[in-house]
Amino acid sequence: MRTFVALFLSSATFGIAIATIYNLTSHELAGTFLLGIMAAALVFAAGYAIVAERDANLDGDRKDEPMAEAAGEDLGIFTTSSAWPILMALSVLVFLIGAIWVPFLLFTGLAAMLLIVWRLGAESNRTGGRGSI
Amino acid sequence: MPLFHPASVQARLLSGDWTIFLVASLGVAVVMYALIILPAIVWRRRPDSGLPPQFNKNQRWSIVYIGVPFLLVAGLFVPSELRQKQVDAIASSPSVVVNVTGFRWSWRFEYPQSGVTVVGTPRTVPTLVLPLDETTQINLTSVDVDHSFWVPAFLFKRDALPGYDNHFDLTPTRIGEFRGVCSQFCGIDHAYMLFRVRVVPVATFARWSASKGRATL
Amino acid sequence: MIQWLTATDHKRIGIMYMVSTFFFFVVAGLLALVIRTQLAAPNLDIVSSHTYSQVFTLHGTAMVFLFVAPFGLGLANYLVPLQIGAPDMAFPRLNATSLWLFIFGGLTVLSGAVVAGGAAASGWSSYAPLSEIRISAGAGQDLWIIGILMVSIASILTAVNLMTTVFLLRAPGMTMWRMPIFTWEIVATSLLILMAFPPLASVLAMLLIDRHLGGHFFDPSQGGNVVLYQHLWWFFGHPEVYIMILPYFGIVTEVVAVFSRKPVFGYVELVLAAFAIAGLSMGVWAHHMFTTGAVNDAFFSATSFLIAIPTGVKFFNWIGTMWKGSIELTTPMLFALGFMLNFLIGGITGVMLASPPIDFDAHNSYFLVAHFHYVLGGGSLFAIFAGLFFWFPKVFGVQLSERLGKWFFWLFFLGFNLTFFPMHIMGLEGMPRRVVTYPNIEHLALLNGLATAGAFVIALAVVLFGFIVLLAFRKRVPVPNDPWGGYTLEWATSSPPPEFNFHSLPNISSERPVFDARQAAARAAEGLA
Repeated sequence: MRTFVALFLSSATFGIAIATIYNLTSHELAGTFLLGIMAAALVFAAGYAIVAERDANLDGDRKDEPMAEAAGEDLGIFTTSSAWPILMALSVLVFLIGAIWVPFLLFTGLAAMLLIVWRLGAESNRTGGRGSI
Repeated sequence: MPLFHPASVQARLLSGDWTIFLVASLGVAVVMYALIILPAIVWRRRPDSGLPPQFNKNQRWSIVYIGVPFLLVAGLFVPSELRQKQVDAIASSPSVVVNVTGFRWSWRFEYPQSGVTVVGTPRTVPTLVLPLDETTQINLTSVDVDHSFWVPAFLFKRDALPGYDNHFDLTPTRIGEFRGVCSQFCGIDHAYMLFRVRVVPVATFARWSASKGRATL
Repeated sequence: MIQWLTATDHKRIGIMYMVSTFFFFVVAGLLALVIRTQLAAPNLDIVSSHTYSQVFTLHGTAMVFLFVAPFGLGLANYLVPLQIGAPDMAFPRLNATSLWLFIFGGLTVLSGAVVAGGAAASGWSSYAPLSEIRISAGAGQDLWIIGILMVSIASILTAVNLMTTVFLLRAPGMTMWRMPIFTWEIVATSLLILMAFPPLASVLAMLLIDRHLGGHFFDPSQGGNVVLYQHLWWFFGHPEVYIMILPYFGIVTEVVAVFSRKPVFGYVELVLAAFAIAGLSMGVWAHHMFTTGAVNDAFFSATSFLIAIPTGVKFFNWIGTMWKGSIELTTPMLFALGFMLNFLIGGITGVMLASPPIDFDAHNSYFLVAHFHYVLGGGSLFAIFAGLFFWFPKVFGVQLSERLGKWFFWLFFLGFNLTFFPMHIMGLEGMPRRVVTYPNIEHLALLNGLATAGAFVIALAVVLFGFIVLLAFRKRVPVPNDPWGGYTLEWATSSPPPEFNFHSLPNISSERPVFDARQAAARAAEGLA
């Protein structure tokens, strides 16, 4: 996973560099702010990458040929179908329409979104907590 | 084509930039087209062919195809920046000043020195009268949405933005009448937000100004 | 039917993504035909100015937000788990949520066409103050904003999903540096999405606040600033165009390698170039704003020139891949070559536009329209067809006609260049963009006539493509695991792949595991003989 860390560290370094150069050469607030926030986000991600890397021990990172050893390994449970995604998308649409035109729908949409998140969690628990969302 | 008939001092500089880039582009295009098409012809698969040599890198060529493009763009950047600074430069004492205001959907030209005001409509295209070989400073703004003041013969445009005062110089070098258009989409009659630039000898311009814009040109 | 609505399998979702983007492509294409018909000759009156504004707004919006960008994500959805040897994406239900947000968002944008006042009509970039409530009062503009917000959320969630999948779900032995280039390009694309889309969501929210909550972000009469809109928009808008090209660089790389029977030349350079492009693309945005007079032209000109270098490196890598290879001009390969020839032109005009003196004349003219159609149409769209002809057999298990495919390529290549090359000259002759008509001056009538003719040739070609697809499903010629002699893991499983993708995986010891397995089998067979 060192590549993962390298990617975010170099991105963060680049972000800081370009935000600094832009500010020094342009003295323009909007662009400096945008680049600065971007740099901050990348620094945050790089920090996480460094911490995560310590615990990483992925089969995918092994350079030897462990396919035979890894055969039959349990990767967890992947859902095969769920009604919640399409209902979630619909709720977001209702929420946004409500936000502009029909305040009642704003609350309906929001309530639906929260309800769906709750049901999604329940769906994950049914897989013994080892499934992906 | 306006590119070959630049009608102002600034346009000549801009046209020079176009020339440099067009020549460089042509050269790059010819070389790259050849490199792309050549392999497809020369190394077209023959029925009996086996696996070709499986090389996948070449450090020396890497240096070439990273270094040469870098030198090329660095080389293009310098004349480009020089010309941009020259074209954007504002003379400290222009002969004429015109306040140009864009609005939905025409233009107003105000000459503070002589008090002449020209206002257009989509049906009556306004004319911006300028003196030949003299520097006119344009002060450009808008009263509603973003517009853009483009005179193709001058190879130049600048945006007319509400809340902003843009300034630029025009030093026309040819007598004549030139098209002007709005080049920032601004609504229904954007395509009809036209104007004309009429370049006249200095004496004619003086007569026109003195008559408060009533004299025929 | 319900199965498709509740599907979470990445292959189903990928197919639905790509099919819906093609629906939006056809809509956007028909809108283009309306534009070209109205502009076929000077001073025509085929559609009203207001209708025309809606047409070009929806054309640009649909092509950018609802076709080119999401098709790449849809293809990534399908391919990336297969290419890294994973059974699915890291978050299958999140994946499905992205899909439906995208579909509903896209339909919401288009729904503006049927409301009072019509659809959004302030261009795909929706500049304020034009898009403010005082000037664009209709619900169409709001539906556009909501729809694009939904599409933005979908993209961000997909980017999160793709990055997590690539980092965590690679098969044993599939180190990052053995991944296919397409997958790497998707990682770079995902990073760009994460950096660019939040500012878009912000500027859209600010526009909504201005429109409905009494905000004045972009109203100078109340202390707001119009250039601020442009900064926020293009800080997103420029990376967006790289989001619309990086996956397609990936497709071209895969196709060129396989049909040259060579390994990818300059693998490491291709990866580093992708990230150089991604990084630099965050720093070039105000080259869209040179004519405002309100930005540091030198800074943005410099970064824009610099970004040409890693792009050029990729070209040399593709040429190096073909060099001394054994080249088969299949339909995917023809489209990949067409991509290179067209994108080269678009790239060159891009470097020209990066010079402010040139931009002062060419900005917002048809020269600009030519530039971005060459990179998006001549580039991305050609790569889309290269990818379609390459992976269609894998996805659907049926063969597309190679013979008809080649006819389609030549017709499309001809039509495309006939439509868009004249636009360079139109721009140089002083024709601005987003105009409902133009005067009969210079050669504009002839050039526009040629462009319109070309557009109908493109339309004909697309109809031919539709026919090719229908014929494939009619004839149902079955497809083996590996019809092309591929290199990467998707060719190690059946066409189409089974649920959870692989019954077994070959050993992975290079970036060409299927090629290695084929070579090993050939050597073993020789040994036995």
